[in-house]
Order: sequence, then structure tokens, then C-alpha cells
Amino acid sequence: MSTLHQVAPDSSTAPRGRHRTAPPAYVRRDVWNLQPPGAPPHPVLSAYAAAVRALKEGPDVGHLSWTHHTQVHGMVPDPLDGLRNECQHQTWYFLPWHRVYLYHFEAICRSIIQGMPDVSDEVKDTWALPYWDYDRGPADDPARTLPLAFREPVVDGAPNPLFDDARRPGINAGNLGLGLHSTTAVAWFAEQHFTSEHMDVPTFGGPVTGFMHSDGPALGAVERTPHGDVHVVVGGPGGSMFSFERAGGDPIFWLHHANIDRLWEVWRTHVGVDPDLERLTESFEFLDVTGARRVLDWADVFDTPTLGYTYESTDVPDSVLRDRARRGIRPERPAPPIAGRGVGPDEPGDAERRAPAGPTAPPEVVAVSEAPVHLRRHGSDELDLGLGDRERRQALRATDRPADTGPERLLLVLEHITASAPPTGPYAVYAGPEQDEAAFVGTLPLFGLVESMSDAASHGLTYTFDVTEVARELRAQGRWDPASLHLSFRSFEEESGEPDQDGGEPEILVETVRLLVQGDG
Amino acid sequence: MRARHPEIPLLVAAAAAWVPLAVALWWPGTGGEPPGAWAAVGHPGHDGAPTPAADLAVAVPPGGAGSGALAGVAVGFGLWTLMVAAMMLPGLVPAARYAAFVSDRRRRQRTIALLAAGYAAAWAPLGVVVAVAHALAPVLVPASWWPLVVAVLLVGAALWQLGGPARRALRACHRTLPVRYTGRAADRSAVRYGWHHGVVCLRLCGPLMAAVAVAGHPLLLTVAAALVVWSQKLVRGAESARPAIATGLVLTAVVVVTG
Repeated sequence: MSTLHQVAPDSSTAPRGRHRTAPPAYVRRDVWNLQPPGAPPHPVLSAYAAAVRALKEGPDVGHLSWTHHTQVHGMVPDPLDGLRNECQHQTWYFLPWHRVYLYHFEAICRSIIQGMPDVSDEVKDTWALPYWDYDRGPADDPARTLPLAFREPVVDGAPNPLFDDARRPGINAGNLGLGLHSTTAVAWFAEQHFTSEHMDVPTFGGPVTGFMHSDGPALGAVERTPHGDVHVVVGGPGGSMFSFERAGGDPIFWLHHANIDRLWEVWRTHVGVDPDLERLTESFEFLDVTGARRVLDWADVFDTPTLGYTYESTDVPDSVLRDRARRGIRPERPAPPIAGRGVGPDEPGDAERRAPAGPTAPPEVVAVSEAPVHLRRHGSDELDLGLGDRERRQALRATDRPADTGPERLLLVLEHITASAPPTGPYAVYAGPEQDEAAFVGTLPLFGLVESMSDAASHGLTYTFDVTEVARELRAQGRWDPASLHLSFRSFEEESGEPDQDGGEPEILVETVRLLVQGDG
Repeated sequence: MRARHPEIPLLVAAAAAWVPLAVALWWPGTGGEPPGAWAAVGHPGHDGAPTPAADLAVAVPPGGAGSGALAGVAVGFGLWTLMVAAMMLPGLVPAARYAAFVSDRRRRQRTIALLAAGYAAAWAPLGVVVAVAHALAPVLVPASWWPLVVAVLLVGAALWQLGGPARRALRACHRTLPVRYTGRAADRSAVRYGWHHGVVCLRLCGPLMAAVAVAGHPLLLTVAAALVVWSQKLVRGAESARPAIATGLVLTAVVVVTG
């Protein structure tokens, strides 16, 4: 059995700046380390199951209600109470809002656990929400399948509170895992900027927007993959995880989002800096562990130790290491981790060291699709984006050097996406007819597509990709003719080998595809 | 400059629309004088002599029949169109920039013009209704009641701001539609996008614009309404300002009624 431990932050992990004194940190641990294949349920997971059961058996409303926690994420009709139906997607609020959401949920679970007589004192003192790190190992690694404690409908003769029968059957059975493309960190790990004022620019965290419910103009790279992919693959078209309204009702949701929250720490430690705190004025209101309404400012949630927790691991993700190996990039000596936010007057060293590189000017369109693209389970449309002479020169210049050091980068935007029915899974996008790793652009998870088509949404679903590296590599291999960019698509069924589901195929359209070049102004 | 800011001609057109609007309505000695126009007879308490509809003074429409009424409708519709151009086109800038940049570089201004045409077309029916109502109003409503009518419309606009339809319209204001790159398809898609955007704006701002028009475009109210429209279209987080806007409209209604 793994040892439970609680750590006090040392000088290397304690936040600097406004929060020099931090409370003791709980440690969120990887669920697959808590319960490896063949191991019995870990006390931390058993305690989580007990807390979930207590919430599910609790009242219909309030902080001790499972329904309430589900409705905080999404609820129809909108109760307009400032507490429910508040989830933030397609916006730079995605990460901080979900961080605070989990923070309160975790505190409430811990408080329930601490009141249970059959839980050990060690667990009571140290319990923290586990996370599910699915970006581990090759495609057949067990960590890519649903954690064991969530699979069985019945445990010890009683219904398992961690089981949700609305998940995709293969996920619950443990014979369908999350594919490499659905969990890859390569795209978000390459993003230097947390956010951007320019809607067409890919970022780590999402574009600058107002506080809005799930209908911003574009997604951050980490919100797209793995976040969106995992929702759609685990939930399937009818599953809880597929829907904003029901996602929080699946107990695996909280471990998935704990991992997304961890990836923010990974990015902040190894790659980028958070936005300038002076710009942040938004606050987030939730029911806290006492049931009272509590407001936390965005600026107060950047450091997890400030909120009283850390993660078992914030190492560079496996997929990034694999990608570097494939491209022959030698491992770099890791930079010292950033303690604190990496910006601000009291951290000049970090700010200088972590000043984001790459272009910042508004991108310019160099090619646009002339007809909608149909996505199908088998035989999706392919697309050629033609470039004129001037645009061709721009595209060539953008791919002369790596995306994070070059003066320009090549961006791909897919927007105005609609579906006649919920899609059955993500679609992979490739630059070229050959669908191999070098040509892989990213996925279209399509999480939130249904919500984005509502008349209450201010934007449709839009995906932005930095394709500089892909184009550069294909160009080096003699596989890219800059006179045009050829795009092909591959469905979840084709990627995973899953059989087609019964029923008709939804008509999925990508109405607009644009290729842009972003310069440095 | 225009390569990076293709919306500049649109803004120039909006600025230009303010000039005849100002001359017709607020320039000393010209307010209300065009035949059949919305003669500004001033706020209750004035002596009834034609004066510009300055400040928040409500302009009472002149009476008339036959060709005079028709001319009034025509002039009223013209003023409405100028008002839409002056007040609404700046809010169209994000849509115009989007449409321009997904179009062939050589036809960006054509795309923006078609977008604006589709947008204006969506506003035209309400303009006709307001102009006709304004022409018939003197027959149906005593002049002394006119400020009350305007106040009721302002309160209605305030309530509308707080409702679900306006909230949804405000969100939909920022939604783009597919615009094709070139050819007839590009023309059609630009008009369609403009029309869609106009309909959404009408749902959001129609009651406010109607109140301003029925009030006879008092200077302060017109400028304030323009600022409201621009903030809702261009400022991030405008949704949270709706209660303040509604409060401002109600206070304006009180001022209109009480003087």
C-alpha cells in the first residue's frame, strides 16, 4: 500500500509575492499509483467513494448535494443564481474557474470523510482528490483505461457510487482506452502564451473574454486536448461526461479535471507564465465547506500551494518526451521550476527567464475554404486550401524556423462546426493524405458542440491549431507543397477501431477552414 | 492602413451619417424646420415655438395629413436610416473585420458593403413602423401626452434590456457566420451574415432605438443611446452592464416626464 503523506511547502515550492506564507499542502496523487492493476482499492479511493455516496444520498440542494455540484457546472434552465450553470469554457476563465470548483468540492468531500468513523485518521488528515494521468506510456498502457475503482457497478454487494452506467460501454468494461492523440500534451506544451486578445491565436489557456458560460470564441490548447477528448471518449454521445449539464454527475469527472488542473501546474513549471495579475478582476463564487457563499478572486488561485495542495508529479508529460524522441530532439536539462506566478515586480528573475517567445501580432488570413467539409465515420471529406503567390511566400517564411523561435507561425482555424446529432467521438485532423504522426495536426473533440449550437451561445465551436511544426516537418520530408494545404480527417471509430454505434450517422459540418500567418507586428 | 483596417470606410460612413443628422436635428435654426419633419416644439413648458430637440427635450411630431403626412413618413424614414448608420455601424466593426479577412483581398470592401446592406435591410421594417407611427401620432395622441409616451417606451426598453431575449441577443451579437471567399457565394454569404447580425441587433437594441426615434432624437439621449449600443457590441463583459443601462433608461424616463 502506498504511503499517505502531507507536506509543508519548502522554500522552493512556497509561493512568492503576495503569498509568502502558505498553509500546509495536501498532495493530490495519481489514481493509477494509488491502485495499480491487480491491487485492491486504496483507502483514499474508498474514502472518495464513501463521500460520493454521502453526497448522492444527501439533500437535493446545497453544498452537501451531489445534484448541486452537478448543476454548478451546467443546468437547464439557467437558475440565474450566480452559483449554478456557471461552467467556463472556450475562455481564459476555463482553468481558474474549474480550479476553484474542484477546490470547494474537495474540501466538502474531505469534511464528509473526516466525519466518518470507519476511515483511518491518516486518511482523514491527508485526504486529497486524486487525479487521472492518462498521458502515460504507450497506447496499451493500463493508465489509459478507466481507473479500476470506477468500473464495477456493484462493490461488496452494494451499488458502487463511482460507477456511471452512462459512460461508453468499452470504457466501463476497461477494454477501450484513451488513444495517444486524445491525450497528447504536444500542442499545449508548445504554447508560450496563456492567453491572447486575438481570437484566432492558439494559446495554452484560452482567449481573453468576459465571464461567460461556455460560449467563448475559441478554446485554449489544453481545453481542446486532452480535456475535450477525454470528456467525449469517456462519455460517448449519450453519456454524462459528454454534456455540460451532466458531466459533474460522473465521479470520474473530478479526477479528470484534477488532472487538467495539474497540467496547468506542469505548463507553468516548465513552459510559460500566467497573465499579468493587474488585468485580472474576475472573482468566482461557490458554496464552501460550511455551505456559505464564498468568493475567491482569480488572482488568488494561481498557486496551488496557496490553496493548500500540490501534485504528486509535475514532470514533463510522456507524450512530449516521445514526440521529442521521434523528432530527434535531445532532452534539455530541465529549467528550475517556477515558484509563484512567474510574473510581477517581486519576481523579475522569473519574468525575464520566462518571457514568452514567438509572434504577437494579429494573424492574417492566407487561405479560406470555399465549401463546407463533411465529417463522417468513414470517408470524411478532404480539403485543399489553395495559396496565392504572396500567401505562399508568407507560409514558407513561417515554416523556415521552429514555431517557438521563428518570427512567424502558421495557424489553422476550423470554425462554424455544426452537427445534426451528438457526434460519436473526436476527429483527428491531418495535414496531407497520409495520416501518420508527422502529419497529425490535432483533434476536434467536439465537446460542447451541442451547447455551442444553442441560441443562448454567443459563439459556435472553433478550434485553432499551430501547424508550423507540422508544416515544417512535412516540408523537410518533401511532403508539403506550399501552393496548398491538404487536410484529411479520421473519425474516432477509424482511430480506435471501435465498431460503429447503432443508429444513423450525424451530419457534421465544418463550414469554414482558414489558414493564417501570424507575424511579430 | 486599409489592408490591416478594412473597416475604416465603414467608420467613415458612420461618422458622415452624424453630419446630416446633426444638421437636421440639432443645428440652431434648423431643428424641426424641414417640411413634415419631426418638428421640435420643445418640452412641455416651452412656448411651442420650433426649437432644436436638444438635451432631453422630447420633440413632438407635427400634425398633418395627405402629402404632408407622406412627406413626414419619408423624412422620418430617412432620419431613421441616418440614425441606424450613425449609431449602429460602429458596432458592426468586429463583424466587418471578420468578413473582410475571410474574403479575397481584392473584394474586401465589396464584402463589407454587402454586409452593411444586409444589416441595414434588417433595420428597415422597424424604421417604417416608427416613421408611420410618428406621422399618425398627432392625430391619435394629444401633444401633452407625448412625453408620457416616450417615457413608457424608455421604461419598456429598460425592461427589455433585463429580459432573457435581450440577453440571448447580446450573446448572439458576437457570433460569426460563414462568409465565402469569392464570387456569388461570397456576395450571398456577406448579405446573409449582415442580415443575421441586423436581426440580432434589432432584438437587442430595437426598443431603445425606437424610443430614441419617437422622442425625436434629443441630443443627449441619442448620444447616450449610441454609447450604450457601442458598449454592448464592442466592450467585453457588456452583459453585466445591463442593470445599469436599464436603470439609466428608467431615470431618463423620469426626467422626460417630470422635466
